[in-house]
Amino acid sequence: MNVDPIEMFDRLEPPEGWSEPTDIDNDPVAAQILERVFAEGGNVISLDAARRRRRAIGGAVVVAALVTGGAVAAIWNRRPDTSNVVSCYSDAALEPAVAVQIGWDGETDPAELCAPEWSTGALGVLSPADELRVCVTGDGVAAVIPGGDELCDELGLTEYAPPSPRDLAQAVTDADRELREIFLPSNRCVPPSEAEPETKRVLDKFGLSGWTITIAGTFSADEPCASVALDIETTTAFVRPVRRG
Amino acid sequence: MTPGQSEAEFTVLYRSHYAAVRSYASVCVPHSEVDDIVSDTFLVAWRRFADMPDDWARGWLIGVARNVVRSRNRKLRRATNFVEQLINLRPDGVTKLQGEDLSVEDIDAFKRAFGKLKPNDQEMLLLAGPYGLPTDEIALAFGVKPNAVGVRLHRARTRLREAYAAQMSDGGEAA
Repeated sequence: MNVDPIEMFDRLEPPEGWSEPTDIDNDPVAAQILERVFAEGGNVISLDAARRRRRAIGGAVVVAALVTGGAVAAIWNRRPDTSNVVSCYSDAALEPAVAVQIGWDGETDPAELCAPEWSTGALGVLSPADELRVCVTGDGVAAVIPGGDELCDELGLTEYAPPSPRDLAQAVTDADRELREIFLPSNRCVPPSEAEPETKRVLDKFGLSGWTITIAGTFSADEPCASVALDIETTTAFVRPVRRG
Repeated sequence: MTPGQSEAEFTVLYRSHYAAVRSYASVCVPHSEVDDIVSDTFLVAWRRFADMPDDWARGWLIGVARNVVRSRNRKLRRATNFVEQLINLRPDGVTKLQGEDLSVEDIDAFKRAFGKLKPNDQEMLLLAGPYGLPTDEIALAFGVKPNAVGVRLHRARTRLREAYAAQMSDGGEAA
């Protein structure tokens, strides 16, 4: 049958009563949420005053103002190529007035990292209409920029794609494979002094910079070589002593 | 305006649009998270009450809810499947479509095609289609000018038609 998908979609309906007023006196959940909003939101007038004070305080040190944009990408979102730094832009331009660079573990939400730059006033005042968007520049850097919904498209940048669980699982598999090759006792006995920096290097290489490295066990003459096991649940690399191969 | 007056005015707005925000949230996140999204949305709205436009407040609130949802999804590394959620919430809609001679294959191909669209396209189609929001409200929700909504909707519809045609010609193999 020849069907127009738009027509098909438009015939679906939203949940019932979605556009009707709510009787909050008879809806305990709605009443509870409103109560929470007033309790946590405080007084709107005093909040405005607090906001003005924050703007006046100023904030973090501006490290660099050199950021470049990039060409229009064919894909609509992507992971950054550089996972150790995030750029926080002061305004929606490829060459912003100010850009602050912040160290990054490659996983934390970049917008969350940059948000304090506005709350402290370091990057000025965030317009109420703007949200912090995360784009990827032509240089492969994650850039947090204040603006509207289509900001990344408008600047010719690609939208940032957060690491997916699948990406993470793949990175762990790849890192594990490389670590096994390095630490396999039959290849070479890696002493504990080298184990930690070598593990860190491999973790960084696969974007697992935020992982913890823990020495588990005691190295001895019987077990002088290091082996490494990765635990994705705790994001920990366990370095354990093993016998020579 | 005194704080008491603000609360009274905000409560009127809350009564009017609570159901719309809740409904939108229920299409975007699992049921267990809907209360949180509604609560965070109105918390932001209360803090920005002075910035809220007099007209089309519902579109503005849905725009705030969108940002709350996006921020949460980014942290949880997940994307919303709007059409799946919508169908889960209103399975009678699919029953009705089947009653109008649409086959299960048609509907499955449509779901797959819809899933191939960018999240922004999916969401704009959702608000303009099943929710039937007027252009001005969609513009506020997306933070764009009203005339841009028409252009984007046109593109999104074209992309959906193309994706659907591809699904149908692949016989579902492109899933």
